[in-house]
Amino acid sequence: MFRQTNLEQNASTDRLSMIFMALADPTRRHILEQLSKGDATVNELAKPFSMSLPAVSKHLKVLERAGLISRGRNAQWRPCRLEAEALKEGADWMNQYRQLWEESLRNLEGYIQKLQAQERTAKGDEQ
Amino acid sequence: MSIAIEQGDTELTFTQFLNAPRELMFKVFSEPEHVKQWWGPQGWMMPVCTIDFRPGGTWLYCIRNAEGEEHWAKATYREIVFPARIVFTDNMVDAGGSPIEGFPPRRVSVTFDGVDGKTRLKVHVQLESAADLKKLVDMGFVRHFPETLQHLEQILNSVK
Repeated sequence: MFRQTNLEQNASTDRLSMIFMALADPTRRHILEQLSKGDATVNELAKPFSMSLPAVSKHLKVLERAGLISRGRNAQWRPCRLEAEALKEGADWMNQYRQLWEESLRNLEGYIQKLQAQERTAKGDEQ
Repeated sequence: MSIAIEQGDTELTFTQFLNAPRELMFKVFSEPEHVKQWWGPQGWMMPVCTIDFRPGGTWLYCIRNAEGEEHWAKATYREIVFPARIVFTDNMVDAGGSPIEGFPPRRVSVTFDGVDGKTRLKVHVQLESAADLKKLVDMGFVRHFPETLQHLEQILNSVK
């Protein structure tokens, strides 16, 4: 995270926020769950929901924009496929925070030592 | 001294022993002139660090590297118990301080345990809207997660 350029950073920020927005909806999570069992068409995905095809298509568009699914280009029924790589980015969100804390805590230890050495020096001067 | 790290899918715990009394540790976590000296990765400066240290108050900061790249974040204090505990939620924000949409806030609990004039520092991080991501992890969606962790271990080992 901290070694990226601004452009890359902005791109990955937008992407991550699209992933989290896509995952926030229970219907979309159900769709992903179904796709984890194998590719499926819009009709097949709509079956478990009492939802119109256009409504399901709308959810699929959100998932596709987030890169969580891809859709076949050739076949007329355009089967959907789960893209597991994108989900990895969601997990990376915690890893970035871990790196930030870990480096900060390492700095903290050095800083505390410095601070205490300064205090000792100050006390020595007083005496 | 080493830092022990436990990582789950949506939570993270750091434990570290520090050779300083917990009153000092508490101070170093709550006063901007101290926080500026240690918070952030190596090689990053903290040009902005504003702390309103009370429950409901905020900590707004910006870290900047030599190339001028900046990251802003705003934390809101939830609980402050001197000298034992500080709890806050942490948000990614833009330079104006507005949260960046779509990023789940993280809840951070910092505990200072006094042990013979030393401190056992524990930092617990939890995704606030963890349920959504955790569900997916439980269902096996995050298949590449262990690989990511492994990769990170390699990076960390090479840094050590």
